[in-house]
Amino acid sequence: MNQMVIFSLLLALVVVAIDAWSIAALKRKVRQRSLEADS
Amino acid sequence: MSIMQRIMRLSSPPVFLRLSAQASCWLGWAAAIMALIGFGYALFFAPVDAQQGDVYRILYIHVPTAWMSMFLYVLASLYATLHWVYRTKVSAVMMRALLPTGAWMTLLALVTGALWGKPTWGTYWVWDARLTSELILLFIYIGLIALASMVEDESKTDRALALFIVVGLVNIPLIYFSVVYWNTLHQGASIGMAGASRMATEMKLTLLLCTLAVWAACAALVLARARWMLLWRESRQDSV
Repeated sequence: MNQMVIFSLLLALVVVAIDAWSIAALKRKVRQRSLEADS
Repeated sequence: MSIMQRIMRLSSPPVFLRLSAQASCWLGWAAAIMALIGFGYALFFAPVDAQQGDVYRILYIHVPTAWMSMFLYVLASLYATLHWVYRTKVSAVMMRALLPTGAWMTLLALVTGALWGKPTWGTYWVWDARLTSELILLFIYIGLIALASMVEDESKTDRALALFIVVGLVNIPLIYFSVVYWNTLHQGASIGMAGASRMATEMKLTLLLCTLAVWAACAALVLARARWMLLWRESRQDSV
């Protein structure tokens, strides 16, 4: 299998992971605020 | 309930929060399954291209991400227009949520295109109309993301952001028709709405599955981000 193809696929996976991680960070921020509001 | 009433109902934050939570979960799983089958088939079973060899398989990632980079921008423009007309919270968060995923798809299209270009064209990059207009799209996305995060209270920049998104829409037809109206190194469309396709059916079906996988992944990410952006706004209002 061509190395460029594998690299492209891994790159796509990394991009999706970074995007999902940024959403998870936003989720943590919202949860943190709701905890602060409760206390 | 008429279709218009149904669409308007989607702009209600509680309805959107409920539907987006379910939809992002289902779309995420659908994307994972379709990606596993689609990219698995593209890598190991799809026929080798007679002229390009195995390197053509990059196109199973490049083409869907390039389509998605334009599609997500058009969708962001649609939500930006809706925000100008109705000023709903859902349209504001949707237009914002589409930008980062759109930027990532544009970057992926550019990088995978360059990786494919080196063995095929003999160069990673040329300043031809298609490549340059796609690069401009990336700069537009980055500029809009910067504008979106300039002020802490996001709602204050919603209208300006919506205006700039709609202005940037002018670049999309330039990208799409660049291979038609200019003499470019980038080839013309292999698949079109009209006329016979120049691709083998097996390759075309694999590309379709890969495109659906990328579409579902983007939809899941955008809906999840829009949902948490909306909850962030609601929590801000609650705390003020």
